[in-house]
Amino acid sequence: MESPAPAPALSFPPQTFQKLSPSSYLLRHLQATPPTRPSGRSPSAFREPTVHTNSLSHAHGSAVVRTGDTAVVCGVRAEILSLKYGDGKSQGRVTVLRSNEDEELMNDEEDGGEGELRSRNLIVTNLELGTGCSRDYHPGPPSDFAQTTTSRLHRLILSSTSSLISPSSLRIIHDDEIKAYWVLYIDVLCISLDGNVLDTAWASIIAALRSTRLPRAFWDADSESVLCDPEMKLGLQLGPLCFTASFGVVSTGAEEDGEEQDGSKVVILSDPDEFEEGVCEEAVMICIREGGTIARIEKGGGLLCGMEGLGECVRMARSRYETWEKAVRDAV
Amino acid sequence: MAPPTSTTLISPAELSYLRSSLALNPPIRPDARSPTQFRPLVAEIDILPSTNGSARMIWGDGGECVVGVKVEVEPTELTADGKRKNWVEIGVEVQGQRDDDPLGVFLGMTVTESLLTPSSTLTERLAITSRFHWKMYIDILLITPPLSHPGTLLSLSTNLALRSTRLPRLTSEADEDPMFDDDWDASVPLYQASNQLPPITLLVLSVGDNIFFDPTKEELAVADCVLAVSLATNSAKDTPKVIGVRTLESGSGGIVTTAGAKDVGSGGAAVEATSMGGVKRTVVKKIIKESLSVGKEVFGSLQGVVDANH
Amino acid sequence: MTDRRRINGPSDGTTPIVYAGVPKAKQLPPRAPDALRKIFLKTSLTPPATGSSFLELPSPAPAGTPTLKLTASVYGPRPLPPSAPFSPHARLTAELKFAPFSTPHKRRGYVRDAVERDLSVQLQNALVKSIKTAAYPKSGIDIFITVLDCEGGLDGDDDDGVEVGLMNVLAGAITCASAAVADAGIECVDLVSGGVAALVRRAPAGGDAMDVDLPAPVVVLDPSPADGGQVVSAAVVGYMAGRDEVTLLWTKGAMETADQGGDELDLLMDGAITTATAVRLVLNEAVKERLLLGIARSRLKKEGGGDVLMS
Repeated sequence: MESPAPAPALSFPPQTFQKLSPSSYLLRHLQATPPTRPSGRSPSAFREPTVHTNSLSHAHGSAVVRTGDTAVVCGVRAEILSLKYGDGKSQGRVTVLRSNEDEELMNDEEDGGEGELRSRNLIVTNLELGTGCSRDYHPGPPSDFAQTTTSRLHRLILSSTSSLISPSSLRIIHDDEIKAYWVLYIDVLCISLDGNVLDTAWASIIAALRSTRLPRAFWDADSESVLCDPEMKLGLQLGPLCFTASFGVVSTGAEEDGEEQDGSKVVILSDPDEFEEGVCEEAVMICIREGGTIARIEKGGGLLCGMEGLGECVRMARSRYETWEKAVRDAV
Repeated sequence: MAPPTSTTLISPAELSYLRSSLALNPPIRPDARSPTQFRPLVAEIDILPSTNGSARMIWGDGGECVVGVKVEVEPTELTADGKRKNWVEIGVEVQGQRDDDPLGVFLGMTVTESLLTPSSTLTERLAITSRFHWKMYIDILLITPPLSHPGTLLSLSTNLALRSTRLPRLTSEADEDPMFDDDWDASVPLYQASNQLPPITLLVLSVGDNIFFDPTKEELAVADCVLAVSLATNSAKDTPKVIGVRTLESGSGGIVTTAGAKDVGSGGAAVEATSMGGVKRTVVKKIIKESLSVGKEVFGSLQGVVDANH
Repeated sequence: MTDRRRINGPSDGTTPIVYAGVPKAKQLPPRAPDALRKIFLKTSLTPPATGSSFLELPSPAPAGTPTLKLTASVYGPRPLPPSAPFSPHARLTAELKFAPFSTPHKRRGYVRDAVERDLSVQLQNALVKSIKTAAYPKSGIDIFITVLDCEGGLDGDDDDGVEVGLMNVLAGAITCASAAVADAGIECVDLVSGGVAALVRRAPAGGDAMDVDLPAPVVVLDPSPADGGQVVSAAVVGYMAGRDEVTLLWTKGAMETADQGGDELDLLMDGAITTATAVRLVLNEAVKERLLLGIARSRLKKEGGGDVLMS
């Protein structure tokens, strides 16, 4: 009896395999020795950043930051918020607060007034992805992803641990009375998106803020309005630097069919690209502040990364901080 | 009536026939008009008593356009560079279309651009005193969507409405707060004999070497090039000046034909050649030259409408 | 109206900066009327897109003067959404957007305004005639243009003359988008480049602006809003130099025609075409650079080894 000829093994070019089964495609790469990601990077390798500042003519400060195939442009633009009569007096002011703002205002009085930034909306951060930066985002109202990333960036700027922008540099004071505020519009446009837009956008915000020069503003009693000095420009007073580092976490044992394999181990991917972000469900973000202290940790999407993994992330985030710090310092 | 679709549904064979007859010398238009002949239209002015100026026009194909002009006194806020910004507000509403529709945007921009062209001196006349000016609202309503591009209809109606626009006479001194004469008979026309007349915009298209005015929708579908030429003049007797040219989408139907061009034999080759690519600059120049003489006639007929009403 | 999906500023609104006195405007070095500025044009700077390009004018820019910077990315041909009706040819859409920080004076919002929609439609008209849309039935080709920075001159026309800022943006967008379309490998009959020319009346040196006899206007190629002088009229063309054909013409301002002495329309249009022809050379270089890179890469791929083994 003749056995039927074995069916020819089904084979695809790598690109097709990547589309058909993204998870096994990534895992096969990581199972190789040494483990290599589809992009050719090792799991712990970040993409090298390039930073340029002040290349835009109408923004008060701007930066272009590129890491691999992710590129963003950040422009900072200041406008003036005039206060109503008596609104800016420091004494005898009555403020109505929503319950959750209470605590912030308390801090505010102690450490320089982050609540002022928040309650008056002096910082306006927006991230725009509808620029044709990727095939998944279209012009029009921001997608859910754009909205969540925007609010993460906004939170980082306002958080009291980073205390990035001191409200005192935004006040326009005349005779001990706050007459007006500078409002900083921070707009980040993604012009090319290949994953991890948060780190890149954050670095661009830092670089743009550091390059921002505002004209000296003063209260003109005759016209009862704020005028600016066309000659003199001042930089912003910024708090200590901080930079974020994002990671994707995946287990080499987690096949799509749920079959457990022996020797499975957890792999932490630094600075994941678009493809890896799609496969990794668990994500970690660590924000390191000047001096190596941890300003913020965000983690979600899974349970793979334990204490050990987090420690590893913090260590890598610290070294990433050095890279960003140098890149931004060189550029500004 | 079915809502007009943005792309004309004409079969490749029809397009090819239409195109070849328009490219003949002399050309044959489907409605037997001469290339420079307009379709019949009815026009009247001063139809809305509560406006400062108004006009209505009904086109032969059923398109109807009503334009109303209202003015309000507004304090002048000079910008840093002394420019008069936002003194004229133009709203175009095309029945059954969203207000961000490309057609509405195009029509609005064309009217704005030609009305405020530097030689018009319109904003000078809208200034009342150094501190106040007239803010002018021009509302253009296309009540029934015409079967063809409404550009010409709309611009002619707007022209008539503006020419019938009158402003109350100022009775106060130059530096006082403005006071006006409430006698409507004493009001002054916005456009007087010495002023440049309001502009008109003509749609002109070319097929081969032939140039056509007042095109129908079918003719637009096979055109090589469609231009909206805006003209202005000081008097209906002079040859007008070109004050703006814009290019419109053309030959969307022609592209449809390309797909089926192989089936239509020798006629298909011509369609194929024209559905892609632009036009030679000589054609563009010729279109504009011809619109000058046609424009003069149109200004003459509009003058007739205005004269008949006084 | 506030957009709840974005972070908005103070609810009472903010006002742009008002300077005490006039800020010193940087004087541009004088340029001959027919001197063109240098353009930087590079393709493939947005790798996720099918094709992309970046344009900067002038490059290098004199320090402290505004420049025009825009990016274009092209996606497609890709299938139309199932809801779209059958289309026997590719459907081209172009979306042009100004970045919030791209313009002088006031910050721009994120919602598209009439100016942006108007430029988008004009851009679409200029490009659609260069693309072999019949080769891609049932497909969509989407072009996105982001204006990152511009030279100003967007205030609209008034009695002092017409503004050329928007025309420069449109011309740049046409060139940049055409490079991106070529970069995407979409079949075209020719590349389209944009060119601007203007009739400018310059105040005579040292003369009074209120002089009775004004100098005759001259045709200036590639005018910049920062150049100064009164712009009597201006024209922008989309031009396919390989076929000597015009795909777009947009003019503003009154033009004298032959029987009134001096055929200004012809002068302007020929001027704009001269500019566009020069721009075309830059466009050619950018596209060629990309092509050579592509050839080199495909050779590498043939010689190089395969990927990791997939079992």
